[in-house]
Amino acid sequence: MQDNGNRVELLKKMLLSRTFDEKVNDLYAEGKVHGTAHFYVGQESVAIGAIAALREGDVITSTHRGHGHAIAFGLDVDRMAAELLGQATGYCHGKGGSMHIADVRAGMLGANGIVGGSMGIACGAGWAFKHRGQDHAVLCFFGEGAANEGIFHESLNLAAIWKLPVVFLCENNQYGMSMSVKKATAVENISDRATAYGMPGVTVSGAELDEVHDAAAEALERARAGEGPTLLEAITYRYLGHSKSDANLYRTREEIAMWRKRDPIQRFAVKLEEEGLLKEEEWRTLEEQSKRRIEEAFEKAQNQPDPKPESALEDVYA
Amino acid sequence: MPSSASREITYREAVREAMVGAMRNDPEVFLMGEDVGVYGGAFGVSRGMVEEFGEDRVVDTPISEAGYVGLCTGAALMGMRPIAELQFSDFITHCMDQLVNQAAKIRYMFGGEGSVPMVVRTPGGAGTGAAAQHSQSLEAWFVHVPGLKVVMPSTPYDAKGLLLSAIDDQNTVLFYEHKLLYNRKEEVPDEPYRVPIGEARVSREGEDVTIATAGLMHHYALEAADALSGKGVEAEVVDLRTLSPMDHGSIARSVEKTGRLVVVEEDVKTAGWGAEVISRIVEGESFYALDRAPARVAAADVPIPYNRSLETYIRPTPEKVVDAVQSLLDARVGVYA
Amino acid sequence: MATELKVPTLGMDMEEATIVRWLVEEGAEVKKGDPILEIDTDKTSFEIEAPADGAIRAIRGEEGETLPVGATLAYVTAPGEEIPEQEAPANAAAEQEAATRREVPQSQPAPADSENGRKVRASPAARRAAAQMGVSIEDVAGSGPHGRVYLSDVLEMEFAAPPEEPAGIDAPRREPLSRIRRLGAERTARSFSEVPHFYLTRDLEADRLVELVERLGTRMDPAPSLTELLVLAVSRTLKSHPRLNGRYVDGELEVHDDVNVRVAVATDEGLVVPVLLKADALTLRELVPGVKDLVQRARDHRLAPEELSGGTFTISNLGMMGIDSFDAIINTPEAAILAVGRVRTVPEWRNGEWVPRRVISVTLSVDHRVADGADGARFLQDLQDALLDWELLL
Repeated sequence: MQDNGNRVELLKKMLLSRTFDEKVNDLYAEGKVHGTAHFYVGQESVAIGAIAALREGDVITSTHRGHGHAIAFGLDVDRMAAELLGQATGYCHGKGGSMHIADVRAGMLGANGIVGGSMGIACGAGWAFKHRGQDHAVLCFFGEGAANEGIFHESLNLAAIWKLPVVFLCENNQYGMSMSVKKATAVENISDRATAYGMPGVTVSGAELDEVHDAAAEALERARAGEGPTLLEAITYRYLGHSKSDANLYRTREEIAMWRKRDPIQRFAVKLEEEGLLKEEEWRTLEEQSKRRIEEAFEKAQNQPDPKPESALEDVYA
Repeated sequence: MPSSASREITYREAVREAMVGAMRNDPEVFLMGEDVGVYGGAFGVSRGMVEEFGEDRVVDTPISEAGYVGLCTGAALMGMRPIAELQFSDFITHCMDQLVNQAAKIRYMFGGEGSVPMVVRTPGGAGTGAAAQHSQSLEAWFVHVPGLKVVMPSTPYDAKGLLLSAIDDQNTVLFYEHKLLYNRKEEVPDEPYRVPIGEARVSREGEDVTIATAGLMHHYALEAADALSGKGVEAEVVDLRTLSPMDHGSIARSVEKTGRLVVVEEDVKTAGWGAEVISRIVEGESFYALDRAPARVAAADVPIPYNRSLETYIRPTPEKVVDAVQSLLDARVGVYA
Repeated sequence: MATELKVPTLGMDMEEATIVRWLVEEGAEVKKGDPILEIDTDKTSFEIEAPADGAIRAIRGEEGETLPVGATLAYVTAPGEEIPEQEAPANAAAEQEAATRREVPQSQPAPADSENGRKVRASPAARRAAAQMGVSIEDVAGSGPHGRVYLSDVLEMEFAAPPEEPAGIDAPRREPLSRIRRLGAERTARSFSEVPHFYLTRDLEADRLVELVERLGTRMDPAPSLTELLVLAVSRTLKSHPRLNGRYVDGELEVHDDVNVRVAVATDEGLVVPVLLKADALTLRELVPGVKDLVQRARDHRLAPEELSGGTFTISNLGMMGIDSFDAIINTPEAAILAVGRVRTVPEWRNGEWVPRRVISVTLSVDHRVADGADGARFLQDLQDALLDWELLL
C-alpha cells in the first residue's frame, strides 16, 4: 500500500496516460500523425500500479503498447509527444516513434515492436544487476500473445535457473490483435505456466490498481532477495482497437461496454473518494489538468524542429 | 604492435587468449554459451577458462540460443561486455530476432541513446563433413544488417587482435571463426594488441590479379597464388578480415594496380558478400581500372552435402581459384561458373 | 512481298562488294531506277538502283562493310508489304557475311565497331588508357574474343607508334589513294605475290604493221591505231593458244572459248582496264570503234560494271609514252599479259648491207602454273607471223 499523497499521484498518472492516448487517437483520426500507435486505454492500472512498486535503480522493459509504461515510469510527456510527431526533440530524435520510446539511462529499456522482443533484454538487465551485486530488479511487461513465443519460454527458464531478479508481468488484455487468449492458450491462466519453469505464478485483476501493485511489490521483493523471478498475470482489457487500423470485428460492443463498466480509473477514483483522499470536484479538476497538460505537450511538440534529413544516417553505430 | 615476446600458438588459443585477457582486465566481460564451461566449448576454445573465472563468468547455458543471446543483448544495453558463443554458426537462425531486430537496431531506434556492445563468436564454414545444418556460411546475412559489424579473421594473429577490438567495440560484432582454422598456428605476441575492425590487409603482393577473400578462403587464395606464381601469374591477395564495415578502399587500391578482380568466398554465390565487393568496384572510379570482368569463386547454390567428394565439388578449393584466375587471364572470357 | 535488294553479280569473277555509301536513308521513298547506294567491287565502283517503287526498309550493311554477292542489302516495300523476318535468303546472306568476316586476316585490326553495329567491346581500363593516349578505341586491334580490346592492346599500340621525326625534317603527309588506285594496289600486290610470273621478251618485226596503220588511216573512219590492230592480231592468235587465254583455278586449267581482251588505260585516277568481249569474233570495223569507245569512257570514268570484268587476256601499251619495253604484272585471274613498247627503227644486216627495220619490243608475262616458256614463245612466234602476213589471221 502506497502512502496517501502517492495515491492521488497514481490517479493523476492514470489520467495522464489515458488522456495522452485519447489525444493521440484523435490526432490519428485527424491525419495529423504519421505512422501507427497502439493504445493503452483501459489498462492503465497495470502499468501505474506495478511501477509504483519499483525502487530507485530498478528498470523496466516495455512493449509495442508502451505509452502507459513510459508515463508510469515517469517519462516526460513533452518528449513522448515530440517523438510521436517525429520531432528532433523526441526521446528517439524522431527515429523510433511510438513503438521505440526509451530512456535507457533512466532505466526505461525501451518499448519494443516485436512481440516478446524485450524478454531476453529483461533477463540481461537482471543478469547485470546480479553480476554486479546490485539489489535492483527488472519489471518486464509483455502481453499474453508473447506468452506463445519461444523467447517467453527461453527467458523464463533462464531467469529461473539463474534466479535473475526479473518480474515477468503479463498484461492479459484478452486478445493478441484479434486472436482471443481462449483460442490461443489451453491453460486457464498464463500464470499457470510458471510451474513449468519452477517459479511462482500469480494472477490478479488488472482493473484493481492495488491488487496489481501489491502483487508486483511482493514479486519484486523476492527478486531483490535473490529468490528469482515471478510470473505475474494481470487480467485487463484494451478499450480501443489493437492499433489505429483495427475495426474491432472480433469482439462485440457489449463486451467492450461490459469492461468499460469496470474501468480501472473510475474504480480507483471511487476508492480514493471512499478513503477521503479525493473530493468529487477535485476529480473534475484532475481531469482538466490532465487534458491541459497533454494539449500543452502536443502543442509544444508541433512547434519543435523536424530532425535534419541527413540525421537519418546517424546513430547506426556507436 | 607491441611484440616484446611472442610464441607460436593456434588460432583456438589466440581466441582464448583474447577472451582471457579481456576478462582479466574488465569484470564486466563474460562468456556465455552452450558447453563453454567444463567441457571447454564444442571446439575447445574456452577450455580451462571456467577454472579461472568461475561459472558466473564462463556460463554454461541451456540450449536456448535466442534466450541467452537476448540476455546478452540486455546485459550489453546495461553496459556489460558479453561474449556469446554459438556452437555452430548455423544455430544463429535461432536468435535472428535478438540479433537483427534487437541488438542491431536498439541504438538507432533509440536515437543514439544506448548501445549494445556485444560479441557473438561462432564457427562457420564447411569442409568437415558436418553436412547441411552444421557447415553453412551465413555471414552475408549480417553484412546486410546495418548496426551489426561482421569480422572473419583468417590468422591467429588477427583472431586475437580483432577479438580484443570487438570486445572493446560499442556495437554488436559477429565474430566468425572457422572449424578448419582452429589448429592453424602462428607467432602471436604475448601482450594484448588490437587489430582495427574495418581494415583489410594485403597479405601477398602481385601485379596481375587481385584476389579478395576472407577467413579460411584466405588460405586457399594464398595456395592458389603460389600455384599461379609457378605459371607466371602474380596474384595480390587481400584478406578483408572484416566484412562489415568492408574496407572497399583497400580492394580498390589493389584493383587499380592489377586491373583484375577475383573474389573467393565460402558462402553460396547468389547474393553472397562477394557480390558487394564487386559492386562497389564496378560502381566506383575503379571500374575504369578493370581490364577483365570481375569473377567470383564461391560455393554452389546448394546446401552443404555430407559426402566428402560432394562437399569438395561444391566448395571453393585452391584449384578452383587457380582455374578462375587462369580463365580470367588466358581464355579472356572473364566468367567462371 | 517486298522486293529484296541484293548485292548484284556484275561479272563472272565478282565475289563480293564493299559498300561505299548509302544514298538514301531507311524509310526513304524511291522510284524504280533511283540510285540507292554506291558499291565498290575489285574493279570499279558503281551505283545500285532501286529495283521497284516503294520505301527502303531494313537496310543492312554499313558503309565500308564488304558483303558477298547475293547478300541482302535492303528491301523495297510497297505500302502494306511486310519484310520477311527470318527467310532463308536472309540467313544465307548472314552466313556468307559471317564467313566473310572470318576471312579478315588476324593481323588486321578487326573493325569491331561494325560488327552488327555493336559498339567496340573494350575493358574499362583499355578505354581509360586509350582516352589518356588520345587514341580512339575503334582504332585499337582487340586481341580478345570478338575483337574485345584489353589494356595490353592499347599499350602495344603506344609502343608500336613510330618515333617522332627529328626537327628540321618535313613531317610526311598522307593523302588518301583514289579508289581505283587502292583497288589496283590490292590487286597487283596479290597478283605479284601469288602468281609465279615469268617473262618472254622479243622484238616483233613491225614494218608491215606500221604500213597497215598508215594505209588504213586514210581509208577507215575512225582510223585504227597500232594498239587496235594489235588487239585484233592478239585476239585471233590466242584462238590457237588456249592456255594463255585460260585461267589457273584450284589446280586445273579453266578454258574459255571467247577471247575477251582487256586494254589497259591510264586515267587521272589510275589504271583502268576495260574489256572488249569476244574480240576474236569482231571484224576490224567493229573492233576499232569498240576499243576507242572503251578507252574514252574509261578516261571519263563512265564504264558500266560489266565492262570491267570477264577479261581473258590483257594488252598494255606504253609505246606512245616512249618506253622501249617493260614487264607487266598479270591481271589476275588471267594467265598472261602483253606489254608493248614503242616502235623502234633498228639496222638489220640483210643481203650484205645494213637496212633500217621497224620493230616493237613486246614482253609476255605468263602465269607459270598455266603455261611454260615454250608455250609463250610459240604464241609470240605466231603473233610475229600474223603481223608479217595478215592473211594468216583469216
